[in-house]
Amino acid sequence: MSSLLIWYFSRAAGAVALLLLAIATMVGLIGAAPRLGPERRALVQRLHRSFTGISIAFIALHILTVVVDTYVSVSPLAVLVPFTSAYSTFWVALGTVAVDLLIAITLSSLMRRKLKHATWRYLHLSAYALFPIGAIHAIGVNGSDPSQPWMLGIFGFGAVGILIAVTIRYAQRSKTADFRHRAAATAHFEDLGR
Amino acid sequence: MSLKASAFRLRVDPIGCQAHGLCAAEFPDGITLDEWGYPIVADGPIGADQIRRAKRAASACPVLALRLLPVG
Amino acid sequence: MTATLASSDSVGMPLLVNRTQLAELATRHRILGRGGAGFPLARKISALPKRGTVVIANCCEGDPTSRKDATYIGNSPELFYSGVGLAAHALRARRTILAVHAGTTIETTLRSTAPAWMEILAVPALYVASEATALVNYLNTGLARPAGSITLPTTAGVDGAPTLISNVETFVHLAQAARGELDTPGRRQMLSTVTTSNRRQVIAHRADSTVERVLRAAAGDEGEWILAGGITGRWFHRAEIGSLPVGTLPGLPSYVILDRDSCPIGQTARMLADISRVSAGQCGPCIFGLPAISTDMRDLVRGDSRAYARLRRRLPVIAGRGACAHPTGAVGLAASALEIYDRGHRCSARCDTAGVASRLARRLR
Repeated sequence: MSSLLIWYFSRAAGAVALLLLAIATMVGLIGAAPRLGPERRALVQRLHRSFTGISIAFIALHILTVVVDTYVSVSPLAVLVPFTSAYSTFWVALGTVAVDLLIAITLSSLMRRKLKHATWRYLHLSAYALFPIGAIHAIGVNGSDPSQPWMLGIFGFGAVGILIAVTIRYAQRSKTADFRHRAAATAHFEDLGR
Repeated sequence: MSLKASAFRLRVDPIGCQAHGLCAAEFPDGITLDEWGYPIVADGPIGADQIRRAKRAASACPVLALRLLPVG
Repeated sequence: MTATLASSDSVGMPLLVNRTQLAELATRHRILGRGGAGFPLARKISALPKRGTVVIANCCEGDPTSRKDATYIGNSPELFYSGVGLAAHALRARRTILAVHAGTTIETTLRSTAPAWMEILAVPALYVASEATALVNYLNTGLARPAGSITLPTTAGVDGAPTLISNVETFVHLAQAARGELDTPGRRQMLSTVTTSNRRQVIAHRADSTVERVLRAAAGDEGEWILAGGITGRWFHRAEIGSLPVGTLPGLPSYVILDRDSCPIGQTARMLADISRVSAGQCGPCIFGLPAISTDMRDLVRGDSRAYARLRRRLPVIAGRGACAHPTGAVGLAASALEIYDRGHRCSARCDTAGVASRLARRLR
């Protein structure tokens, strides 16, 4: 099999993975938007989990083909440990950092009941970093490709989409049930201890 | 949590619950919301045909206030 | 059974050796918890291991109508301490704690009379802080509010150790049982009373006395509706319960005695407002449900007939859905007032007065 073919495939898989990652992030944000109402939120949350699963699959495909391919030298170690890749050390390291973060976030979600809620939450919030790090990784590793319209399209779509999703997520928060609960609960009794 | 236990029941942690309401959306047969948005969970064990939906409801809670517990 | 007991301590009380014998003593004398719930003490003790328990005597007496615990501690401290000591010894307790609201006279008394080996724990002087799991929570985390976990304190409480929490009077009864004094006919028991004119007493009545005799001692002829069981108790009409033995009424031994000019429904509305004010504010049914039913009860007093339907709809929804018994107790009080309404009692303008409820409110924080 032509090594160049695998190389092109891995870059395509990476691009698709980045796009799916952006969508998963957007869907996750929208699913947490209180103004959607409980039924829609439950549905969108399930969608978020599905999209996350698919993007992980494509990231895995991207990583696998990069390691297997002989056109560039990226060792299996470099998948998990940053700055150990012979090829494009710094830019691959960014991808590695994103993968490490993604693994931590995924594991924490699978083991959610065993963690403190705050721990899970802060880890999950770091998911915001995944798309930006992934995008910069794509730009740095590719040299010429970033100028391709479809790569720019993915970056643009992801950035704008995530920003819009953030505004949806936090719009009119004060009118929602959980906000009302927290406001009413904390209005009571500092003397009982925080 | 092992699904090999004979029966399960749902339990809301009333302190953790913040009235997000996703549990009732996932399992309307077993959970209804009171007028302030808080879940009313039917007492007693959950039928075997409803366990999956109950599990989904527990997993849907953003603050993990709903738990599936073995009975007995 | 007495033949197998170790010899008595210096005050002539047989020293029970172990947990099993303590449970047997509680079973034989049918000792119930005296903090309001009336749970059989023997069952609690049987749930504990043979050693390593933490024993907590709840000396807070958070119910604003009740003064019996303060009276026991003030008048018969030695009896109380020996009851606590008995339990602590039989359970091989690793810690023995007297929990009390900070800044109260009970705290002062405890600090000056309690044996040195008993720890005195001053908790915030707030109603919910005296709840059993709140005491444990305060010791474990510094948060003086009900913890709401599925695990009972007898399974895992202070620092994860099995914990026995009982009312002052429960330990008094243990001591009396061990001395063979619990079943004597002339034994006196304490009951707190409050009248509309804010006359407060702790009546030492014979254990087999009737309600009417106690009412007479507390308020003479005055008094029609009685709130029995504490601030979250039930209403009874004097004529209907007068001949009953005192012990048949459930809950805290406490009577709030309304005169003929006071209205039980009106007073309930005031009490519900205070009860909802002092909730720990952790659970939805308390945060939103209690203010709703206290507003409804107030509307009922003021003549809004639709408030009745709202109450009937809401009460069953709120009960039992908090982390502690607070909403359930409030619902019990409200339901009891609705029963009076069901019997045809309707309110007039003068029912909407502050009355004794407002004086009780000052003790409810």
